[in-house]
Amino acid sequence: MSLLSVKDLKTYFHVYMGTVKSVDGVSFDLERGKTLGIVGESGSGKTVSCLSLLKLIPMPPGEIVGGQAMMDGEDLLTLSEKEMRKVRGRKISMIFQEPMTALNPLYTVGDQIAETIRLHQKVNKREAFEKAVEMLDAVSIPAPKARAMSYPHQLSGGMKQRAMIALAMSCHPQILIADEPSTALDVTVQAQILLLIDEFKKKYGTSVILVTHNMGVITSSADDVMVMYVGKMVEKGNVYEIFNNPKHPYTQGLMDCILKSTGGKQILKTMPGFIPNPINKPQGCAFHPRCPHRKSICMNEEPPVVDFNEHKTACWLYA
Amino acid sequence: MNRNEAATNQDIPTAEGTGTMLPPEILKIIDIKKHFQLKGGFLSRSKGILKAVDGVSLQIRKGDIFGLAGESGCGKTTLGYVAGGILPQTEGTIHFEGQPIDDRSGKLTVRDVQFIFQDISGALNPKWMIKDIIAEPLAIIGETAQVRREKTERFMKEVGLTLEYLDAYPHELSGGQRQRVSIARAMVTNPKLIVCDEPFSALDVSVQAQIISLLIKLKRQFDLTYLIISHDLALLQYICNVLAVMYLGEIVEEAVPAEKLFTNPLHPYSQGLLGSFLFADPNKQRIDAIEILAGEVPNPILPPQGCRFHPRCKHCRDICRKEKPVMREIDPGHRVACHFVQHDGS
Repeated sequence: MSLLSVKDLKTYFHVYMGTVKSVDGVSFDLERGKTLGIVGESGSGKTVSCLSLLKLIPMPPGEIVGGQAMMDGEDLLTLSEKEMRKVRGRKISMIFQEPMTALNPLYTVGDQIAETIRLHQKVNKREAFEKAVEMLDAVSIPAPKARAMSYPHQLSGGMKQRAMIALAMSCHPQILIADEPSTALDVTVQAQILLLIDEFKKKYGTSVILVTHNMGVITSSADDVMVMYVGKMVEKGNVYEIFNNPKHPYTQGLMDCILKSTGGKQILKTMPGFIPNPINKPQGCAFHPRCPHRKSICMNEEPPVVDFNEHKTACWLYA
Repeated sequence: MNRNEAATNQDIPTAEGTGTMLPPEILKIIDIKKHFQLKGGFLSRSKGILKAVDGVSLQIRKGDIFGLAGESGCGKTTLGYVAGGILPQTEGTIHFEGQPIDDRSGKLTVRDVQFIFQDISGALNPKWMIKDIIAEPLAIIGETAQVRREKTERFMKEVGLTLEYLDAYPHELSGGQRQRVSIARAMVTNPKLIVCDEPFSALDVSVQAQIISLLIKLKRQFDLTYLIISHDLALLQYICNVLAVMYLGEIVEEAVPAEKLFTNPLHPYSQGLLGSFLFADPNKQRIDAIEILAGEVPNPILPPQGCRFHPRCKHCRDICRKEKPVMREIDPGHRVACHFVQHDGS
């Protein structure tokens, strides 16, 4: 039994130019204590999928058109705003790419963490602040007591992201959504942050949804991977399967244009064309204009999802 | 630190040849320093000096793809700007094609050096049409309208943009197309050196691969020399033949060919940087199994005494806290600034 089961999620944005189908029928399961990596290029709908789970989509122009997200026997998508507040931060929390904009510059870091704790737990102000200091200590921030009284601008980028993780983990959520958690950081700090998330995952059995466009981040941290392309899942499976044995032509193309660490010189291939305009998506399989294995059916009909023993792909090649 | 002059004149094999005939030096900078006076507060009193680049010497030969790696705040962008002549240095000399650039009317010209910037939206004037953006360097050097149009159209084709975009504005283009525009703009004057500051970091992976291939194609076609500033080690490994690693305003390790630095990093910082970098391969790089360099880059206003890396270095000893290590050549083409690296690489 998986912890979170998302079925056929559809989130559309109604804008002046038409309807943008940012997420168009995405399904996935999140297992307890596992990390699901969601990869895709910009505009693939990976962030919108996550924001939809927490109902953080600005409505209007956004709208969750359909689908289900079952967690603990309830559908997150049908919850009222009041009920949703109990979910955010306690059952599911989220960390963002830019920690500076996610933290309030006018409150100290400790106060912000304490606020979340007081919202979900019956503790007084002093106890909440003490817990906040404990959390800062748990994310290896040196001198946590002093740092708790610092404002966000007094911390470095890596420290801010650590403080964000402390904030997100303060009520021990079952799911942590990390949206590009390390993109704005230096390589060494990036690895430190990912290791920290991994440690929390192992210690508390938290499930993690890791959204990124960086393949190195995915390969280092994810157990399962879902590859998205303009609002749809194209391939999903175990991280080793996806990287060693990609099935969908888009995933294969993506693997050819990332630089792996190899002793010898790797030949970099490029994918022709570019990501289509999300308002005017191509008919049939959205990837067909760029696909080297295009058949006539690809241009007209949407591909079915084919399941190879827990490795799923949406492609007519295998149907 | 002053890298000795002798080292700069030694025969260093490049990727193209094995030392018989070396391509000529196109850019040589000697002991460059760039300090910023920080001001603020009451009556703009000085708050300190930020030594963004503090004594760097390097040489770039014709046809090189010179990579400059390091974490943010290490001064790599500042060094690129100083080397390319758009930021005056505080101290030190820059030679371009053997001439000190002070003798060449004081600065490098748009004919010689061009830039490709990281922030692709900010680098293109939103109120200008693509044709005007690309032709601007030609206008600066006083080409006629006829030449400007011909060259603009030619280089748009070279970088893979169709001519329908001539009258478009930057916001109508995708990120990859905008980066192509800045490449075309950098190419129109037939420069000898192009400084690329994080040219790929804002792009998606599939677009990144297209731009990398484009830069390599253009280099072959027009015999270009690149200085590429990036924190993406996988990219630098793929594209560069010379690599220098910077830390807090200083170069700590340099290798020709660059592959030496990847197969045998000598400086503890380079080792840490390479160890922490997440190459996209699940078979060997799981986060709980790699050795991550601890700590963060310290405040550059008050850099540590002695070896600047010593607070993060696991091999740190007394001498590291007191004495600055000198750049030494460990084996031909591979130089490192560390007290403890021996000739056998230990």
